[in-house]
Amino acid sequence: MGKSSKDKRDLYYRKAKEEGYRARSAFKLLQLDEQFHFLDNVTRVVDLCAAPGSWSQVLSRRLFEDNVDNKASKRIVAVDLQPMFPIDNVTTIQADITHPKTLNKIMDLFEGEKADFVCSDGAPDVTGLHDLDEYVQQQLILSALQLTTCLLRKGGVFVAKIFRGRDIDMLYSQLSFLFERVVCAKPRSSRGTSLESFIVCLGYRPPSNWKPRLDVNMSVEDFFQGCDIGRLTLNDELPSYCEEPRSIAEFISCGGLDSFDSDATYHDVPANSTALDPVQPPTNPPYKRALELKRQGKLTRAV
Amino acid sequence: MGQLRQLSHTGPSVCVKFHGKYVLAGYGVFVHVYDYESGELISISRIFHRNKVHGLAIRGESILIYGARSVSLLNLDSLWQNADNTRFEKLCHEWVISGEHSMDGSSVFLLTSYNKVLCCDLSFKVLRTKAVYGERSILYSGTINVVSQDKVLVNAGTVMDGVLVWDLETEKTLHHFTDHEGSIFYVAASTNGRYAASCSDDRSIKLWDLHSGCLVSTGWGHTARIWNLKFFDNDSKLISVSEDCTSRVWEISEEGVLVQKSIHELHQTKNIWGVDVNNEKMIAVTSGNDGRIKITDLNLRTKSGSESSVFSLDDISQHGVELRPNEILKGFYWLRFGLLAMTSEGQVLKFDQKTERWTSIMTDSRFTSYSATSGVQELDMVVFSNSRCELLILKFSKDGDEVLETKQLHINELSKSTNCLVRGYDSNLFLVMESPNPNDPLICLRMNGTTLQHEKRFHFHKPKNFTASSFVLYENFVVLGSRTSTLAIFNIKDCKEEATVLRKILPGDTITSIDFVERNSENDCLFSVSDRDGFYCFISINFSKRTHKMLLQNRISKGFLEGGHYNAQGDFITYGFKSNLFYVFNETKHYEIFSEQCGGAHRQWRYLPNFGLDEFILIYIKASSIHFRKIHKPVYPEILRNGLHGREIRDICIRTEPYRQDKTVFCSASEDTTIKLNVLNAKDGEIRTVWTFRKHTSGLQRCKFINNKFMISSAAREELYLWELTDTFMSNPYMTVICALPSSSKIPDLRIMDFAYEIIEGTDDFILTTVYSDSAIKVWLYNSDENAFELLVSGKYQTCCLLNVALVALDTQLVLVVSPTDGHLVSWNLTQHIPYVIQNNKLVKKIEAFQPQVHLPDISERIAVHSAGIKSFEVKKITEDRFFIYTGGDDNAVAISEFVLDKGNKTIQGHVRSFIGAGAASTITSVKLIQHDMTLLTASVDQVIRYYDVSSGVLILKNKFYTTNADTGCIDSLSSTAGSLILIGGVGLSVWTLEYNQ
Repeated sequence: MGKSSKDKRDLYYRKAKEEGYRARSAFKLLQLDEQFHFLDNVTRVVDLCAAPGSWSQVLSRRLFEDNVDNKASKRIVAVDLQPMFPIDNVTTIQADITHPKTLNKIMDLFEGEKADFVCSDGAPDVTGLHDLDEYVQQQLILSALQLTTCLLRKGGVFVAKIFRGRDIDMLYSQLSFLFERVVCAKPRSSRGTSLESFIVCLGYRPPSNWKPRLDVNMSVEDFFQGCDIGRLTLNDELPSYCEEPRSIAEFISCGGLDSFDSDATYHDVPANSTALDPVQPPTNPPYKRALELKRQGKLTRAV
Repeated sequence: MGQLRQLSHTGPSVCVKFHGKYVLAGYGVFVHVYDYESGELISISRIFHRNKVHGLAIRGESILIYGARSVSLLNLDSLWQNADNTRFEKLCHEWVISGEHSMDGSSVFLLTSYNKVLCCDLSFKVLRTKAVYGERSILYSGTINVVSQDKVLVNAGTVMDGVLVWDLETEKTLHHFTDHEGSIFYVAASTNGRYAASCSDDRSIKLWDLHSGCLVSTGWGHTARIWNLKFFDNDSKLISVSEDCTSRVWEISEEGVLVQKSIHELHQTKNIWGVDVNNEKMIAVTSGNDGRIKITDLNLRTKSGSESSVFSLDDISQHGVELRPNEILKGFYWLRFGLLAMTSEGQVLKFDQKTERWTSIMTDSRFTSYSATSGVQELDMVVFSNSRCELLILKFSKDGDEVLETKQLHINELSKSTNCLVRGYDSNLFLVMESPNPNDPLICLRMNGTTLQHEKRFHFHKPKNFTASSFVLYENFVVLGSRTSTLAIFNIKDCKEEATVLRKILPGDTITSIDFVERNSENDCLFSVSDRDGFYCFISINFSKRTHKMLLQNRISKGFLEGGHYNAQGDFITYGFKSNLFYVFNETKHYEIFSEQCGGAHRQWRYLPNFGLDEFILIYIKASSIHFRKIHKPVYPEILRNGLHGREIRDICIRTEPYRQDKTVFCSASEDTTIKLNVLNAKDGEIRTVWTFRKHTSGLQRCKFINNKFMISSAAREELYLWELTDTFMSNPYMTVICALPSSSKIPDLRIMDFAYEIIEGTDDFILTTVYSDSAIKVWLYNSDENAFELLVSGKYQTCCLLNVALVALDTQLVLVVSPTDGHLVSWNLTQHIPYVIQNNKLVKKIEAFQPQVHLPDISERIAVHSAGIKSFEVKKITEDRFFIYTGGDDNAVAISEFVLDKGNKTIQGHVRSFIGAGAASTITSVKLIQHDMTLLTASVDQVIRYYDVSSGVLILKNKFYTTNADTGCIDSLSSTAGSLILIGGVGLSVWTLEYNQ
């Protein structure tokens, strides 16, 4: 698909380019915030799996441009394994979100204060094995959640990308142990044909009898052992199959049903307008060399 | 409500394993056992409640089965004996990447996604947990190498951090390989412990020396991600399987260099997940996302040692054949005993395949420079022709040792001859001779195939611009195919009769083959026709009525098509060229049977039967040598289970009328852009795909049978096709596009999201309405006489995408209902816009003086039902002024809305009758009424099918059941008085029956 036909097929893609966002996903956070107003009075926020940085851009604009009060004490920290181009008012850290050192770095930047808001728009590459892809995505959310439990203030908000697959109701159930309200929100800028949604967890209420502790030798599963959120715990013997607790979270469509529809084709793209280049240049895929070889005709059926 | 039972399931298979004469395959929540020699499915045993089987490990009589967080340890016998083994399922707290037994079989090792190994006893008591300090990157892959009772190595493939090889006992990292880019999808160690091989997102295979810890070599070749690797043949080879649907065999040289030796195209788009090799038989088994379990003979090309031979002209002269300098082979034909060839000096050479000797038979100087060679295998006969209308026919003894008859002919009627086509019929020889001069007649000759006597000539007047490229003789009719995709039919009983000419029956040019298939009870004769540009068709010709009808037209996925025919099993086989390959392809089952690197289409070649059924020979000239490649009948069944689509099935439609006893036909439309026409056995749920249509060029949205004859499909790029199904022939049902909906622009970029129809009583005409991704709504009339769509009404809802549409003929009114992505139900009264009278809920007769109104009227009613897009709906008329709409949405909700027509002012009012917000944990993608509309089935992406009692007009959840099909997206059903047959599609397809309680 050419640049301009993608403009037509995807209005948010075009809007993102026009408004200087690095990716169309910026509108997802904007529409979520429009619904929940979780960015209205926040001081310290953390953006996990932040690259290429469109959510950090939104955070920067919302915290530093839309509301100029109290600028000096505001902090935005963006963490990703990949390097990111700098964003005004955002401290970027290239680090592993599961590592204790990352937590310490953030806490230093926050001068010991806890965060008001943590978000993650991260998603792993999909393999096509739906069960594995869903598992890896849930592990990614749990990794974000384990860091969140270490640095989110009581009553704070956690937002993460989810895919509503077959075990999503188990995650809903587990998150409801840690937050007052758990909502599955779908912004209009997220395609209806995609399983993507966002879990919005409001009112963090850490269990009183559990102290989160990051340890390089613990897996995400180990981390939550002892925190009674209904995850299967490892005992001396593998248990027989049992149905684990599941619950269905409240669903909210946000951005308003009258806002732009990401599934629609729009015709109002001026025919003579030159297509805008993407704001963020494409990243280097791991299969770059394979593509080069293919272009050179070296990956043919000839043996 | 009744008894619900799964009849069959087709879907991704992630792992396969040889065990003795069996193949064990993880198939969804099941393990299948096949006898690979007979191809028989021996047993299906359910292993897990919900999780898919991802891996199998066998030691002695014990089998360890794992998948996601589930594990089970069974005695092998119980796979054969128990259809349900779920009671043995245990759960792990982390994803199990791999599992193996210990050397003495007293314990098992489970490698989890956090690079941890749980050492368990046989009742899954955790004895020890092993891990490497500080290494916690999540794994995509890993294998456990049990070297001895005390030495176990773990090969872990991480998401971000390369390959880690560690010692289980010492918990120390032995190697950390970081040369790959991206996630590691598989790591395997060779049995001798010398190498490890890994593959990653970078699409390469890397071979590591486990002694030196060095990267030895990198294998490039796959064009997409590689999912699995296996060392075989005493660690001298490696087999890989990939997202690109190929399996490749790599030879490992002494120095450890990976050399790609063969490529096999085995599965349908996309992903081959599992592979195993039987070293003794040298066969591989693979399994893929398409649900296919495929056997591949890795020694197909060398099994009996005589598969291929090459002779240069020098080699031929070594056999005592005298060849002049620059003398070359101009043509050849394969008979049952061997080859006959004509040289550029008019020398006839014979190659005896038993003795592998070349001899010179004769020289005829008339055939120097230009000659054409053809023959008839069953008559042991070869025919040479030149441009001067001369023919030389040689008839051989069966063993080829003697020339029994020689016949020389001159065709006086022609001024020049450039074309001589030959076939044998009922022990007669039949020839078609053609001249480039348009004023010359077309000459056909028939003679006795034994004596070469009783020659009879037929003169025909040749149609304009006609150059014959192939022919078939059926009774007294010669059907000729031309270089411009035209067929001409000549009657040899009446040569004066004008030929029937069927112009441009295929989109391509040269017709490469025509074959007779069968004659039905109506005396319609069915022929298969192929053209070089990749199209084939089935055309029915009634010679006495001089009528014909196109029953099927399709194209191959790529390359040139040189011929197509049914094989003995009733599969349609095609062959031709793909770049520099010659291929033979099973078009019915959709896999490559054979391919040969012959250098491409621009060469002399012949592909002919050899000996008997399913035995073939390919002869070609490459670099001025003649190559023989024999293609033997496979020793093992090539397919243990055929599977269906390799990507998500977007829609399914079942034809109401049965096809044969207990059988029915249905179409499946997939993300892979193909539509498959399948035959379903309603008794056992067995599915046989008959045709895979490649008409659409983009992702499918919908397909529906509108009656027993017509099916409509829609997709992106404004593609909507009307298909006609024919089931009057024994061989197969046939289907073809008869009409395409006009698009609104030259470069259509809209998706046709859904369509609805209302048939005009007693005709094949219908009103069609289509809804688009830009909020457009169009209403059309299909006129069957003109075979065309006429636009009646068009308009727009707003700007959002429209997902579903229905037409409801209610008493004397026609109501249109649309569901956009905004969660509303919107209705229009279309009555005044339709040129038909509506009576008793039916469109009956045309209004003669109708004033067309092209603009969509104002909305009659718009009600909010869901808080996100309505993904699917069903409409049911309740009374003549009322209908219900059953909806399922992206908001996880399910609802019943009621619409009432005011008989006075013809307005419509709607309200929600029943609503369940948490109707599923995820998007509801399909709703379907069954059991005389008493029950509503819903399918959702959480892989749960729920059924509601809706007999009282409200939703009462009755039950739910889990489906193995991920991305559950569509349902169709076929109801009878005793029960319903239910098809559930997603990534895979399940067939269920619901037997009603009496």
